[in-house]
Amino acid sequence: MNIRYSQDFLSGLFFCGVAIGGIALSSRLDLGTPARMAAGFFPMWLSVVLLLLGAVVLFRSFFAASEPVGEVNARPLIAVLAGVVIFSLVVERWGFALAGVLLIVLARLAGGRFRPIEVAVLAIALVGASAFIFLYSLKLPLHFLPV
Amino acid sequence: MELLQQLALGLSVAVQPANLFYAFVGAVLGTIIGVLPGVGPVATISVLLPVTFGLNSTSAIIMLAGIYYGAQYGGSTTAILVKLPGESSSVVTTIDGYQMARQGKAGLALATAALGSFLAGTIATLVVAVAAPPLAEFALAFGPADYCALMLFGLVGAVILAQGSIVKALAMIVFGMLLGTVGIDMNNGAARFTFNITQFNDGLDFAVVAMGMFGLGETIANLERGEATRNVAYSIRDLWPKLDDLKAMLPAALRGTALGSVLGVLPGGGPILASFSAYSLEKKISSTPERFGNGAIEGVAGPEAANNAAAQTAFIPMLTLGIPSTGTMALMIGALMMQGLTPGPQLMIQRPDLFWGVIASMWVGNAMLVILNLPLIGMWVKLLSAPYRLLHPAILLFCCIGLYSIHNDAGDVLIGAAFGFLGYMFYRLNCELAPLLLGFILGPLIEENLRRALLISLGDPVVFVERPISLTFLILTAVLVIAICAPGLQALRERAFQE
Repeated sequence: MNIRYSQDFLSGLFFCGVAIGGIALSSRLDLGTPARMAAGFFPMWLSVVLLLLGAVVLFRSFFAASEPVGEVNARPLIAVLAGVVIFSLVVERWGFALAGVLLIVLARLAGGRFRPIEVAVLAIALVGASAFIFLYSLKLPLHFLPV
Repeated sequence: MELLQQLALGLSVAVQPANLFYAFVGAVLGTIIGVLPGVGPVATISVLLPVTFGLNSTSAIIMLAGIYYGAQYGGSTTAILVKLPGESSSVVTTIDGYQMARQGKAGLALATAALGSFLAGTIATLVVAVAAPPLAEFALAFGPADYCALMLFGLVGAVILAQGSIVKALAMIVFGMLLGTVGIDMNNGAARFTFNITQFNDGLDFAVVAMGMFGLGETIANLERGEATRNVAYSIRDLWPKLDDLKAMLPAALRGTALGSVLGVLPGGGPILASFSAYSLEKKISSTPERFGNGAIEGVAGPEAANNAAAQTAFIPMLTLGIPSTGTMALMIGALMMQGLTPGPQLMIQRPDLFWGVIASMWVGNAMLVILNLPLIGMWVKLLSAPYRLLHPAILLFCCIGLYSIHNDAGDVLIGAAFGFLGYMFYRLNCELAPLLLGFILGPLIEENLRRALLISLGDPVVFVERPISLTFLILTAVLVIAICAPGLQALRERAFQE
């Protein structure tokens, strides 16, 4: 995926979006007075400042040339995040061994050559070593195998 | 004499077997991390934060500090041998260090870096010991308004450190502060930005944010960029410098130490600025400036001493004021807070053992680095060419285990993944992460002090200009803002980052 928008344009857009969300959510909170700042006071002001800064970044991106984001390789992004998400969903119910192996396989799918034997050895070694360190020695309350 | 007593107390803490062990583990781990491809010190400290939860607070900080200067050290090894700076502060070392290696003087360059760093570390430790207590005592007089102004100064100062756009760095700070407000407001029980997610009620966890952004985000970015080839073609002989070399490097290292010690204390200063300044200083005062870029020993000794000294003195504002000047220091403050300690002037009084123990262990750790690393250089060289495809699965696995172990909660792993995405996105948008981390740490403190200051003054903002300390910091902040906006400094910054 090639993103031709400039880095500054998208950063500005992001900051403005977060700021507008922040203003909308803070306005539902009690703002209070300066002498008695309530929950919404500080986030509201922060959001306003962020909106201003975001607007400056956005505004400048139309005039000063800034680099386009360029080619985004979705493979490492998706594979790594999927590995972590799957780990979190699997680890408590299906055990650390399965979660760890799945994570490592996905991590290897994220980039570089995928050599099945190397990946298998790596997965067994890493999962075994970390199970020994964290589950056995440091008593992390996780099951190694599915319960 | 009080100083000697306190240093003795610190030394007695630092040489306790457990603490020696953690300093050793930290220094070795840090060096390994520093030489391994694609793993920076901030990411390492983030990933290892959960490991320190089980330790007592002194050991935890000693180990983290060990990782920090170990990584600094390892970074210069790769800079010299393969022209890849392990981290940004050793960028300058690549210029002359790599040239020396090409001329067959790799051993000498490595020894120069090590000895220069050790000299700087020793002197800077003394600087910390002498300068920190008076500063902490001075800071005891700070009221809430003064703290607000000081933190504002610290945050604006940190922007200078950011490469690239200053406005974007400021926006990252504010975004970080906004992330810091997530959770139930302790003063009135109102839920802020919690989106009905249970894990958000206690606020975003510092370790989750750091591990997600640096551990996961950096890994994704590294994988996308692909591997740079790292071939060490130079054999390492003649490690020990001759008398002539010593004569050339000693004054340079001393000048670098002085420069680094001063710059390290400043907000936004730190090792990067120190090493760049030291290099230009050496080049300027040298009678043969044409040697620079062609393997001048001073070009290695000066910057290496400077960045090590700055790395050390950056602890001064962290330990005495609770103000981080770099991303790494923000991590240290986060680690202290997770131990239930508040970094600030009270720390020295309440926990002198921790305060002096950490200072003394810096010196012990530096000594260890020299003793360990020069003989072990062969091993580091082997690690240096370790393929990333064996490393990143391990990093990801440690990240996941670490995220889980914070609260034994798989939900934290998911939140970490979300921050991993944010970290990668910011990387591609060329937005620096360190300012965000500073904002995240300081945001809640600023809110609390702002609340108190305005409560005392009945909502009158004049309180910030009435108090001399607060006024001074506000003026300094204004000066910084003007200086940042001035075209002269802009150009200077650009030049410094380009070199």
